[in-house]
Amino acid sequence: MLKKLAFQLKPDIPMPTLRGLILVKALETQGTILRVAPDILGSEEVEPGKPIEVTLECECASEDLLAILESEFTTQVRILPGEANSASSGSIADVSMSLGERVERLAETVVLAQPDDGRVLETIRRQLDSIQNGLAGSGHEREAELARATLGALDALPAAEGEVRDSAWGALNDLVIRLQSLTRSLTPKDRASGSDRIGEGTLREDRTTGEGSGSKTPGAEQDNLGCVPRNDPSPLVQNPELLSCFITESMEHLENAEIHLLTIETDPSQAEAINAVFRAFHTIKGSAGMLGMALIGGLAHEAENLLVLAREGKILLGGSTIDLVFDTVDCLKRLVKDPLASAEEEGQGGPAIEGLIGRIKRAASGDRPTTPESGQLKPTVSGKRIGEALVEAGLATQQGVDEAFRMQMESPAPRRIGEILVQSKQVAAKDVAQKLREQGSKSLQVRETVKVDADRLDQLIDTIGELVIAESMVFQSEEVNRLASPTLLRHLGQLDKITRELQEMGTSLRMVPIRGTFQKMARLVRDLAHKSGKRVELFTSGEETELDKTVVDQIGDPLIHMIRNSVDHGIEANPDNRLRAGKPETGRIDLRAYHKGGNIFIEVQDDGQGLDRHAILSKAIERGLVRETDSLTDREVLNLIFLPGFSTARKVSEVSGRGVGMDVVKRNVEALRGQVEILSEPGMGSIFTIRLPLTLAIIDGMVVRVARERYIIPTLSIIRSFRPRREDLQTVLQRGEMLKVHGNLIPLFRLDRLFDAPGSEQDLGKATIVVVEDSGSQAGIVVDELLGQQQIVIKPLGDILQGTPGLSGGAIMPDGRVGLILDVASLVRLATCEDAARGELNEAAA
Amino acid sequence: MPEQAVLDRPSAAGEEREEPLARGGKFLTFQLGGEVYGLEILKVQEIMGLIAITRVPKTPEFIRGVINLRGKVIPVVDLRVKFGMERKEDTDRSCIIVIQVLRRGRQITMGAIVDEVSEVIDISGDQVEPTPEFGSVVDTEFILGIGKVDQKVVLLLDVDRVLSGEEGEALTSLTGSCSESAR
Repeated sequence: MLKKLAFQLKPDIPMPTLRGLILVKALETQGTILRVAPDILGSEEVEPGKPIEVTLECECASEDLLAILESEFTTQVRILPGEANSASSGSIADVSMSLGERVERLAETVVLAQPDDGRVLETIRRQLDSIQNGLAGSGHEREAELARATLGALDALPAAEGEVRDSAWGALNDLVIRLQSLTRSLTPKDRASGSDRIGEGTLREDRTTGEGSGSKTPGAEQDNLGCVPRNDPSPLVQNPELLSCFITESMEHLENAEIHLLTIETDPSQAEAINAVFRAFHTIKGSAGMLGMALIGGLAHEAENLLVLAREGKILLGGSTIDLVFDTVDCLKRLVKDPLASAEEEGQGGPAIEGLIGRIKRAASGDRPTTPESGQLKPTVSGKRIGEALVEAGLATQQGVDEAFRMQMESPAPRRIGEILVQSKQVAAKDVAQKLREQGSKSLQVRETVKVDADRLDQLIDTIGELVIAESMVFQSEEVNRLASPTLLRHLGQLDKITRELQEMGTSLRMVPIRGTFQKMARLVRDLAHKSGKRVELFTSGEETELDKTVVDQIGDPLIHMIRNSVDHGIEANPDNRLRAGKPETGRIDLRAYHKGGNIFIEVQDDGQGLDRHAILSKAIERGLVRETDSLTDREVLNLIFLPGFSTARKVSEVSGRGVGMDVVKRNVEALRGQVEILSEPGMGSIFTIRLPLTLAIIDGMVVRVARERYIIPTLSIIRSFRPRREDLQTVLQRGEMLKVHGNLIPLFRLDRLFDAPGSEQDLGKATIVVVEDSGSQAGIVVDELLGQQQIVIKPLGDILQGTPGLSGGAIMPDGRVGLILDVASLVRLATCEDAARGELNEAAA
Repeated sequence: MPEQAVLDRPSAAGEEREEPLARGGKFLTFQLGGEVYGLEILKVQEIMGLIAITRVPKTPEFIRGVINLRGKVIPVVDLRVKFGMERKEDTDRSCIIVIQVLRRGRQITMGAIVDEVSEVIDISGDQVEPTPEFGSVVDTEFILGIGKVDQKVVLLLDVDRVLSGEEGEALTSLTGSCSESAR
């Protein structure tokens, strides 16, 4: 059957693409192009945004035709009556979008918008205005009214601040969701009637694939969740950019929510925190709805409902209710992180999530007692409530505060403790305000930030490193020094100053506070304490300590293991034992970070039972790690727990005891060029200290000379260096050399022999010994001379040479040559290995 | 684009290869012990005079050491030693050719010391002949083929093989066995 067909094209794709598309599509439909207006196939250019009509003559079933065209082209496709003359395509006129389309556009804009972006606001207002007109025209008075109200709120938005802005924004989001559900519920009808009439040349409404959003959501029906279920779970994959944006943002929201939940747990009356959590869920719900992820949307929606109740004071977030919210956050994290898997799960109906939703619904409907038992309100994070602060300052009585708290519980409307206290004339409003301010000043400060790709940042820092090297090469060049012109020197001085500043700035760019990691630990302690049934409080200090980003990323794992170890092995299982030992019933874990002497220290201290030297030793003997006859120092015994597979736990618990853990700690920390130390006092607790270099890229190094070569030893691992006295030297079996230091004998390694560098001083009495330490054991490295200490920018040796025994990397020296950095641990290993090899050779020879 | 390169020349990364045959193209020629060798120009990043090289201990003899290439540390291979030629003092004509090679699908930068760099020549595909077999006397696995241009013979190097071959593995295994026996 020969058909004539007219369609309009998505006008905002580039002209050449458009041309190609038209030709390809014509080919696919096996049709001939009758007319293109404006004639872009010829010479005419068309303004972007202006519709283009194409009339085709083809032999193709209507459905197929539509399928082919729809896959690429948007806006409207219509089939002209067979006899229609090409001029009639001029009547295709209705370029205005349908209501549904407009709502989807708006939704897209809103999701992608920043509330403080004036241009976007303008767009939103325009879109909303046109929707409102449409609504009023189509008899949806109520929605139109809502839209008008929201418009009003939007007008005030640019000037608004804080809560007002949030609430206007929230209203807008609500409206969008409502409109979406409205138009989506309308669409199926339109569709059905439209397709009946296709053959008669009626306009067929097609939804736009909003450019760059992939957000079209043909909702079959609307359910009461306020989000849209879909049959086809994967359209979101069509736009990876939007998807990845969704993932990052949602993860941020969830992490934020977690922090605030911890605050709520400490103080359930924190309205601001509840609002923040609510907003997080709300935003996720909105974005998920846009992307058609019904599962995420549904779950977020339920959680949101729960928080609304909490905000209205109908339920109290505490005990198991807050656990439920935590669970929801976890579940959402999982779903958001892997949207493909979640889409799959969605296909199966998501039984686990259904269960969670059910639990939330039960909690929200008040199956649980709405007031928590007093014991459940135990704070787990340090921080004072306003009531406590007032009592401490002697401004209110404990009794009064308790009374106010009770009133707050009973009061149907959300009221603050301070408010109640002031109303009942117990304290002056000024005092409350002052205390509240103190509270506020301790809360997190939000700073403006710019997100930069980490690779670009690294590149910048690399380049700065090169600049520093190049600069010092200029400085040390004899030619420049010979010139000695005062002007030049002054300029060079300026250059030097700027370079140093740039270097410092570059280093600081990668520095981030360890706060985020510490907050995760707060959550961890809470969960672990729950699981093990112990009472544990975590106190953190030094959250603002800044570390290299890589360190912060990689220190999380070791910290988790250490905290687990402290909760599971450190804190006594039986609180009576604690009381008997004169310790408070609730266990205390301290997490500290601080700078000291160019290093960063991270400490995990618990006030538990301490490490059991005897148990560790007998376990080690049992496993054949040490012999019974070996005499080990306390430190050596404690270090045994860092061996792989070592655990003294009598039974494997859910928390720890599988024997993986402390070796991971040691390995990870060493990979960051740091060290771990343990201090433990039986019955008093233990302190695990991680010592890390300030940055990964720059270290302090001692430059040493061996024969005609230079090597760098990291200052971190140097204990001391000196010229030995002859009487302190000792040979063993005429082969091994030992040195007496403070009564201890340490092995000596001659770098020249290890590295086959001929021409070195052979008389030990004239050489210099650098005593280095690696995981508690010391060794002496024999070198010819110390050349001095300097800051070293570490450069990797590259794929091929990385892993060369005894070396950890290279560095560009001020003269432009490459210096090699010694890896003390592998050097000692290399030395022992060579000794062993030589020993074997000797044995073979004998 | 390493993947692309692998596709183009499976011989580069593949464990085994059938008959390596150089295709025509532009080649950088250089002298090494009186012989003329050719390197695909696309592999060459730059040519530099000899600069200070830092010896890296515990590495195979043919690795002369590392140099500072504008802030990057790259290894330098002495092609004479690598090909088992007689050692000679460096002259002022000695050069380091900085080359991009593929090693296990990854692009790495290396330097190669040669006696003298000659010129860039065009060699068409039909000017390339397969490498003759010398039995076990001469190892020709690094030679892609032999180009004949204007009566001159150019040995075309399979640079991915020369500079990224088993020496890397040899190194790793050395470290590995050592650390193991130390335990």
